[in-house]
Amino acid sequence: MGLHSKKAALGLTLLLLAGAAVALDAPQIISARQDSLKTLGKTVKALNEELGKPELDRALVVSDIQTIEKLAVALPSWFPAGSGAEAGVKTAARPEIWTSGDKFQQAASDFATQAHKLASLAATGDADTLKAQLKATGGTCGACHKEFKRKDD
Amino acid sequence: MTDSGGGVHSIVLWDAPVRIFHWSLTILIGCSWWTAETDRMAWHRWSGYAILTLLIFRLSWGVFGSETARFTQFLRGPSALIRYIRHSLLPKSPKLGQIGHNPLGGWSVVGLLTMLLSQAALGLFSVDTDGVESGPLADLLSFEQGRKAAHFHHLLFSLIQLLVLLHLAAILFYWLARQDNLIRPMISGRKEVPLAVPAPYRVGISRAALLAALALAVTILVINLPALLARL
Repeated sequence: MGLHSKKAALGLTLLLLAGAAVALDAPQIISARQDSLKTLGKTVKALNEELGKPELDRALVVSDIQTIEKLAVALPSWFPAGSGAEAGVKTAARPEIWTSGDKFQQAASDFATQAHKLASLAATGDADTLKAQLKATGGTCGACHKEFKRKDD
Repeated sequence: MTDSGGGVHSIVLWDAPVRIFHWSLTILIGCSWWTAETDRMAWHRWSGYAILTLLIFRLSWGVFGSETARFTQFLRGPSALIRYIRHSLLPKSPKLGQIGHNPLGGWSVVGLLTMLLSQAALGLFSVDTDGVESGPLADLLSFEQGRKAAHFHHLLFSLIQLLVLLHLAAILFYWLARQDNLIRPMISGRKEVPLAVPAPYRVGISRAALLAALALAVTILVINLPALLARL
């Protein structure tokens, strides 16, 4: 085997490995993303219920809001290029996430802005104030889903 | 329908409560569909509550209401059903001396009512994908369970759409193949029938109003269940 063909074989092996790595990674990324979004939904639901109760459990409210804020900040990192439908795994992420310029980033940053606002009210805001801000925050979820999430169920 | 020898008379086939129920439900199903498609969830919930109230009313009207609204009047056993279907397959079937829902239509009423009631019940427990919007009873379930309810809520709507299409196809069939316009009596209430067929009895409007108020009370009770439970 000549040097050239050895190099070519090595290159090919590396290429295959890289390809395999991407192929292995994407499903993992997608499933982690789905878990995080589920946690987000679960937390929003729990917070909604907590805010409907006659007496607020402030510690619970603060911890739920912190979770939401943390997830909101992390959200853009859950969508690396290649983690769309082309990964061959079932995902509701639409290709527009990666093809419509910075519109998706903008939608994600709207969410973070509202979540920060919610967090700034967490310690002192009364139930109605928090409810209103949670509604505004939830609105950014819906706005993003409308454009970037496939309606699957 | 003109005179066919024996003479005809005009009767009130469907009373006002049945007709109001039918057309309100028609409009509200459209509302529910539209508000779901356009993410107007506050309106979607109102539409659902109205549908739930209508359905509870219709069930009670099926027991305490006018003759052609009663389940005992139009629900028949399998043998009557088979006889009716066989009779319908005759190319030029003579009209039967019965009024109201035929045995096949009667069961399709039950099918539609069951589907819609299940649909309303699922909606009460449904949770949106982001946990922002939910039905009034979703507090009683976990996020995952609420998502399951939403999933079945969505699936069942496809089935309801199918039943509605079947309903429309049947109306078209009676219109074209049987020269029997089913829509007009559902609007005016009236139908011309042979003199030999007596007018069905009707129950007064005050009883309908009472049952409607009760149905509304049941709906209000149901949607406030979590708040009531929290107070106990």
